[in-house]
Amino acid sequence: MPSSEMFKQGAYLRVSGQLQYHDVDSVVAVIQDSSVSLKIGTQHLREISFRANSMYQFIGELLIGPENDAILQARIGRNVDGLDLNLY
Amino acid sequence: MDSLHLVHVKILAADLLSLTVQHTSPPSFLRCGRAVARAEFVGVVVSRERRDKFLRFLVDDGTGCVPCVLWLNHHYLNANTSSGALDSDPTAEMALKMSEEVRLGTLLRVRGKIVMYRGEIQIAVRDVVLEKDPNAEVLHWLQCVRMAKECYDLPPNFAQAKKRQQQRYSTSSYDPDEQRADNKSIGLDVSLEQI
Repeated sequence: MPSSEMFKQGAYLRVSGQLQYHDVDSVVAVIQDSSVSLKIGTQHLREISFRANSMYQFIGELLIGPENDAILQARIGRNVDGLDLNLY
Repeated sequence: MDSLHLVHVKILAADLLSLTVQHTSPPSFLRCGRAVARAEFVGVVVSRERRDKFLRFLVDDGTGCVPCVLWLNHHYLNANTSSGALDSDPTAEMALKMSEEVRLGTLLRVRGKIVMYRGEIQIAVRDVVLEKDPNAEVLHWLQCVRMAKECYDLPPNFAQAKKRQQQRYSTSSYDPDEQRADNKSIGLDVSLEQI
């Protein structure tokens, strides 16, 4: 189980990462930052096009399943290609 | 008079929402003891509610969410000069155009007047700019920190004396009495004999 204090049911988070893939049927995307990946629920997102390997930022609520598997239910998503991650 | 209340201070949501409120009429706001009236911040639109007379939206800048209201009922405002509408307020056309920039997920730079509504601080929007570069948000964070260190968090007489000093050096004019007065207010009132 992740040790971060932000790993809480319903936590309101902003996450950034590189898009690995987006499954249109299950409306789930996976983003990655270094060696860590996170699932993103995208059913509430509108007017966003997904491109693999592009950088995205999502804001939403963290849902944690019974086996500590987490998905961020995104309210907002945006492409942030060009964001200087070191500066960020 | 402290001029900070005349400018749009660059500020983070967490600082904006924790300003000290003075229950005057209308309410006034203090940051480190200095009056501020206008703010500028950069963040992502996370909620949006459009009504006939106004657009209400929330901007999340990573430190908090700022409630904003963009008034659209300019015919009503302009007809009632006692309502306090100013020439600097956006026109109806400008307000409508700005409202179109406010979409969920967009990064915006928002400037406006700090007001109270139902006991909470919110911003009466004066202008809105769409920021296409995602680094604009990070740049704003850095500017907020820098401006706080170099200007906002300094006592008013210190900030004004420092500004006069910088102006003096740039124009190469020197008045020893003026310099002494400024040094005293900055805390540099040390005579040569004391060094």
